[in-house]
Amino acid sequence: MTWRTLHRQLVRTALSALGVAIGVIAIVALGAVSKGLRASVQGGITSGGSDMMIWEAGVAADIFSSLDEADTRAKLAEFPEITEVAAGLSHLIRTPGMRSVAALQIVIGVYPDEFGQQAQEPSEGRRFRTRDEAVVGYRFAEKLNKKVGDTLEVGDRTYTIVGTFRSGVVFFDGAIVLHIDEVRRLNGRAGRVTSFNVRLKPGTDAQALAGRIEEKYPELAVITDESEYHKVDQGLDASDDMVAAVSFIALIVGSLVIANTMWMSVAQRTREIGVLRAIGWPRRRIVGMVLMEAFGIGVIGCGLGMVLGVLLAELTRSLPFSWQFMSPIYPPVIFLRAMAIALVLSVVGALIPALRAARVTPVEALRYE
Amino acid sequence: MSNADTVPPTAVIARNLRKTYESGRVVALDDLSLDVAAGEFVAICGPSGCGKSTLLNMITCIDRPDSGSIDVFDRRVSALSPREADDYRANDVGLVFQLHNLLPHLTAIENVQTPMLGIVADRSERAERAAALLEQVGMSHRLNNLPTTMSGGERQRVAVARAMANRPRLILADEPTGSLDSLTGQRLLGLLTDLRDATGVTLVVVTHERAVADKADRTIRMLDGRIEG
Repeated sequence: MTWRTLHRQLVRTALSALGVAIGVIAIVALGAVSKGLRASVQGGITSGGSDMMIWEAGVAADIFSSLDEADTRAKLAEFPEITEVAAGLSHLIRTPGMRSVAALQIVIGVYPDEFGQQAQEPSEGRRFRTRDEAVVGYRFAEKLNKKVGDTLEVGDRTYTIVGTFRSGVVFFDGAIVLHIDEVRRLNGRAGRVTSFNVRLKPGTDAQALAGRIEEKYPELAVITDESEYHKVDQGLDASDDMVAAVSFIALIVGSLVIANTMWMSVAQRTREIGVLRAIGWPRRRIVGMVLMEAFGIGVIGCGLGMVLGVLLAELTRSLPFSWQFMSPIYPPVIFLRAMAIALVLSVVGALIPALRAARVTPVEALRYE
Repeated sequence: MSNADTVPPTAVIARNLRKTYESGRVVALDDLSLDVAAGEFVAICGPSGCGKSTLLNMITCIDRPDSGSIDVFDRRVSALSPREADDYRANDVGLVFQLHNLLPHLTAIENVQTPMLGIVADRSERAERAAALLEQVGMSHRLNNLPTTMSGGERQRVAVARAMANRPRLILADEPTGSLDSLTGQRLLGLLTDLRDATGVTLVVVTHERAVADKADRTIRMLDGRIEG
């Protein structure tokens, strides 16, 4: 009976379901992008077998971190648990060959003999060895239609692409990797690095060591897990807050749409409800009928929202700027959360109309035309 | 065993019913008393506004008298709680309205099943019973048709089948032929009397049509909320 009623008013059902879908789209799309960002950050922390990352403390965003290389190396050398460090210098340039203002390009500088380059181990070609060679992530190569052996103009210099890699870390896979001194030449940061990746002796308590490093050198921020990334960049936490805020607003809208739909539906079916009461349907069954219809709309909206949410999230892979930073992932918890919230709010939205329906008296309803 | 097999001799006993509206300015029922025997076909006639439908609403428990009592098959229905009244209407009473009042988006067989929801748990039993009832009213060829595709007479036949869904002991019909042409009305009336004869169900029909009254075992005439004569 529920599906028949929803099918009878197909357009209204579809529009109401779309109202619910907006909330689900927000949860799924933003959630998937946010999860993807966190996974990429975690991938960066552990890249090349790294156990932790060292950044400049107190920066507003990770890209602004600037550490004196020699000084920081000396500080880290005081901790015997640290077996190896790899310097990294990040820089943003305009994407070579792209005129769009949004075409920003990540360039990463590493030393060829440090383990930092292991994070970008080429799947085709080889690692770079000299300052006129480069390796590029596969997403960059696909986007710019580059392959091993091609040349690449960055600034006033031309580099030969000697390898392409698939790291699984979206920031890296869209990046150009050069010798660190070439990146310093581009950004004028002689002797500076953005961060260090650090390897520890097996069995070392990374958290405890991080605490000791930060205690002794408060100018350093040590990150062992993506959940600590807010120390150097509030972007992830901000994106989570944005996901929550947008989802909340969208779901409230969806709930109001359901409430409006069911209110109208009950008003239009007063006589019908009165007949059902007259033939013995108890109030609770009338309430159940209205709630089931709202639940049905919620289910349709949920399905629609999940499909559209995934499509929207996937769109970020190809947008001019976001393709370098976003690689949405879809853990089941995103869908379960979206489904649970949407269905609960659908039913909650229908509560008042359902109670109104239950108050319909057969005598009044049968007079109603 | 159907409910109709175990009926006591008196179906309806109404005593001193009074019902007013608009703070007592409009008297719908005025000290009305009435007995209907089990298995009897009673027609209630009278001009518009004489209280016929109000009386029917009292017997079906969708409205309450200000004073007086109604017993239906030895049960004081005028004192039922709202929940008991729902149960009473679902199990003991079948209703036929002037306008068929079928649910427009449900097929004939689904409409007949609506009163059974919550009472007959088994879905296939509901479908079988509804199909049998539709066959009984001559609508077996329209089981899966929507009301919008049926004639007025066909809709009322489906409405009669719906009224019989839970094998009630009492069927109350409010102007059941009011929206039908005379021939179709006669056929519907024939159907109701056939059902009464076959099942022993008690029939109380509110009407202003002489043809309906002529078919009844007894005709009660109402005027200004009272029974005439």
